[in-house]
Amino acid sequence: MRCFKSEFYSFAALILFLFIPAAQSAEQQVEPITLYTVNYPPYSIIRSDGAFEGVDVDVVRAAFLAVGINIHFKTAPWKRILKNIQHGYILASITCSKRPDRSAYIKYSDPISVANQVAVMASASDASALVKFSDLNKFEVTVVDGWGIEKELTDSGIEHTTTPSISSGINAVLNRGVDVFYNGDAATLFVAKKLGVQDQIKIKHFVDREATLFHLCFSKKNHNTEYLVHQFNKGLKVIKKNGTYQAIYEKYLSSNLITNY
Amino acid sequence: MGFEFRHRIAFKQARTVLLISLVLGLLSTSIQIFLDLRQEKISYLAGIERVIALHKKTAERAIYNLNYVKASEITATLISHPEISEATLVDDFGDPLSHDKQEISSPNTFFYKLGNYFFQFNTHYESILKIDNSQTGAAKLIIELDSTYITHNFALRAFIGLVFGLLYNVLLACVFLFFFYRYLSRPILDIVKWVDQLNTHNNLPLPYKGRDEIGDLVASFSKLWDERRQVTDRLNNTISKLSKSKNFSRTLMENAGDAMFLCAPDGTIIDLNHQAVETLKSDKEHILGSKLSVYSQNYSENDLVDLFLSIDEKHVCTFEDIQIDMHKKVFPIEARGIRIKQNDKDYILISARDISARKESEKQIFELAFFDTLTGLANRRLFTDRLSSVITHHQVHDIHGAVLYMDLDRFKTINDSLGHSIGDKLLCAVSQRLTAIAPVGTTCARFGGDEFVILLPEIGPTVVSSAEVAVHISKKIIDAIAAPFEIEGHTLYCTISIGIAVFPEKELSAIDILRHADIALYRTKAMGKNGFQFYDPEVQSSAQERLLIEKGLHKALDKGEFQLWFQPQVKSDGSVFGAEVLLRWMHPEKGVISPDDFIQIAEESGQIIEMGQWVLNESFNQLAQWRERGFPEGCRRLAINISPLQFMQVDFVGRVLKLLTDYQIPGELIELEITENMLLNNFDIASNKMRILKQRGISFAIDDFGTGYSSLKYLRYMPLDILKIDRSFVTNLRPSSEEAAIVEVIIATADRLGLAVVAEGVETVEERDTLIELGCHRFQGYLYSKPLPAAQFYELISETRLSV
Repeated sequence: MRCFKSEFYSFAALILFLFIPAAQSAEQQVEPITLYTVNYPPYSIIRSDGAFEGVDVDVVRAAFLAVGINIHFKTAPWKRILKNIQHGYILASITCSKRPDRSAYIKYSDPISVANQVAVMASASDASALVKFSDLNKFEVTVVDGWGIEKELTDSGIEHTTTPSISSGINAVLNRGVDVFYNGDAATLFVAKKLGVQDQIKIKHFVDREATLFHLCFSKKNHNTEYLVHQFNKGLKVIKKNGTYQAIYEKYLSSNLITNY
Repeated sequence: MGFEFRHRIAFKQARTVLLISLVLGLLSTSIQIFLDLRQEKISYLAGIERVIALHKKTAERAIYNLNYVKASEITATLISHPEISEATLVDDFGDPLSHDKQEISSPNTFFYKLGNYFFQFNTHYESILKIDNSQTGAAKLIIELDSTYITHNFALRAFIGLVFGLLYNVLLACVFLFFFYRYLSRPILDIVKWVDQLNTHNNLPLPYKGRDEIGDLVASFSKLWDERRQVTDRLNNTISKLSKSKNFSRTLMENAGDAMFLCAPDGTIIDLNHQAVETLKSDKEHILGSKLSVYSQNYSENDLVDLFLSIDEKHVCTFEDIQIDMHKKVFPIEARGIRIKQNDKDYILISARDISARKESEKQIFELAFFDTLTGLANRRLFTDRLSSVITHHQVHDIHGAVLYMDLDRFKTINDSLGHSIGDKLLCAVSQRLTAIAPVGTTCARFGGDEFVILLPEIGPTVVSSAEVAVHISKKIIDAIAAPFEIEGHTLYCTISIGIAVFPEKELSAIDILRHADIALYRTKAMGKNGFQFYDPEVQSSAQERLLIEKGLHKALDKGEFQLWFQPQVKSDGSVFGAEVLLRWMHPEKGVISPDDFIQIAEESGQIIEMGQWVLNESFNQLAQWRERGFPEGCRRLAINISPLQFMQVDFVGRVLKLLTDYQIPGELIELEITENMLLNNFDIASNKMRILKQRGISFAIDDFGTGYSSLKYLRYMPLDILKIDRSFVTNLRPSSEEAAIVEVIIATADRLGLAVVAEGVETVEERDTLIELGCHRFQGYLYSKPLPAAQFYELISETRLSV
């Protein structure tokens, strides 16, 4: 009986847990919200049929679902997404890292995922000279054109070339004689896996570089931002707690890439 | 012939073409520039639109991706176009995505200023870029055009077009100049040169043989020139001949012996020869332009114009004239005139020859033929001619003349004893005395020897009066010849016998008249010489009688042989109302002579004036005496006959008025009797005189009415009072006779005109009764009383009335 009671209480708590936020959400968020993202596998993948998936997509969708908020995704160029957020025309974007210049107009959620900016090299190449970030100057480096990491290289004074995409970056390392493709480790491995060349490359971390955390970035100009950040963070905790979060990571990446933050 | 280049047709035409093409070129270029301007604007706009369209999608993508690099590439590409100075891409958030600018080229060039003046357009373009899913609005591509580049280029192109247009026009004008010169000006110059040489050269080749308009012109001109040259050659030949002919004519004229005048039809002298100048003794310049009549004695200007009108081109008109030279010397000329037509103008050529010598010869011939060489008197021929003319004239006009045929008595004795020389001189002296006596118009002739004849052409209206004049002249001649002649120391005494024939008579010829006179001369010779005899004895008697009367009349007034007699004028009741004054000549030898016998002679000799004045004086004197003695109251009027000659004397009215005043006699007592003939000839003068006298109360009677013209005009308009029926109508007057009808008409006429009627010559009771029956109640005649001397008449009228 006591077991029944405890199960009853648990069930009731769950129901309460599930319904209270929903009741709150029903008070402030009537319509489903639209979030923007770019194709940034494995965090955000835009399929050819227009559907969105990926680590961050699924996590955010599950987190909001956990707090009773329905969402759907749209895509746009990354700079356009950021500028719309800045002007308050877009509510939020996923897979967004913290940058000092963004803090003025972005309200960050709790971290959703992590990415380490690493040097992707061919498996057979010598990576012994590459220890610190500044060691990239010793190598021929390429980076995806227009992304934030390119700005890192530029700001750090590291000479580099650009490449249109991750796959072309991997191809550059493997076939074009480029020494290093500076990119996030998860995205690179995800693409290499897709390309079937994960065994031909290797990942080299820098000792002086921290991992980059990805957040759900809300526009400070939206009056629901505080509430939604709160709800999201709450839902994120729920899915981390109920294992949904891990299941999602497993689906796209190897578990060793999950960082406990 | 050379022309300055600027005067040549080619240059003028090229200049014209240049000017026109420049004007048209400028106009067309201006229009073209204007159209280009519009097209340029459209073209630029289209070009800009194309450039924008070319980059629009790329720009939209760059903005959509906010790709600054791509945006920068686009703007850099845009400003690479030279006409675009600035290009800006603004994203849909309003932020500039990219901006590029290039420096404006040469903003202050001439062409920029020029183009900027004309080519003003919008240099700012904005193109809206559509951004998908943009929530902020539209993006823009902003382009600023380089107006300096565009306007500079446009102005430069326009200028180059203008310059090339100008060069084109100049080149075109040069081409035209060349072709105009080659095909028009040079042929014309050749033609001009050819034409210049035509006058001096023959058979010149044609300067232009092209088969075109100039060729036709040259050929036509050449043909015309040849024709005209032939005509001119003929004309020159003609002129040359004419000139020679003219010179020849001029020479002939100048060397002609006659004076020649070329005159206009109005008599103006247009030309004259040397002889004419010599003849008139003047300067040619002075004579030219003057009228020919100035130098003519016989022809006035109008006479000459009339004469010239009668002159034609075919017949020479000959006339004589007396010409007057500049020294007023006259000389006879014979002139020949002919009409000449020259250049449609008429001229009269007068050829005048001085015929003084000929006239002198003619005169001598005439004198030899018609005059007696010794005495200068007419000879028999001339005398006979003149007598024949006079006879013919007299037969027509009923005028009488006389021929005196004279012969010196005892001339043969003188001639034989003293010689022919003395005889001839005596004849000359006689002829001079005859000439001196002969009245003007008579012809004195010497028939030879001592026979002289005088023609008295017009000496009287009747045979008797003519005879009287002839007698008068004959006596003068006899007296003149009776005077002694002093010839070469000899005192010669001559007498002359005269035979007189009066003419015309019974259509006798001059020879007959001369023969009659000659016969009368021989009768005179037979009757003792130194006298005259008429061919007709009756004429002789009448003439002598008239001569006596005329002679007696001269003395009668002086000797007081005239008396006034008075015949009473009686009314039908027998009372005397007046009297007619009648003149009686108490001739010492012939007794009382009636006025019918001497009044006509007195009128013809003019003595009637003196006699008439005497009658007037005596009548007034007698009347004044009677008034003093007491003039019968019933006798109110004294009728005095006035002869026409007396009445027409200038001072007649004055004399009568003076008498009225002198004798204090009222005019009403005076009646003046005048005749119809006087009125006939002097109607106005007579009428005026009568009116003046009538103002003084004098009345007028017309005498012998019915015997003359009996013009009713006189009765109507003359201030007459009494009409006296002539005795010829009264004598033997019977009722219903022809005379009675006449008298009745006269009386009725007088009655209608308010005139009193007095019948003259009433001698019988029958006559008086008939007159009374016809309406006449005043009479004069033997029935009542013969004319009486003054004393008896006074006694008569002192009685109460005359009984029949």
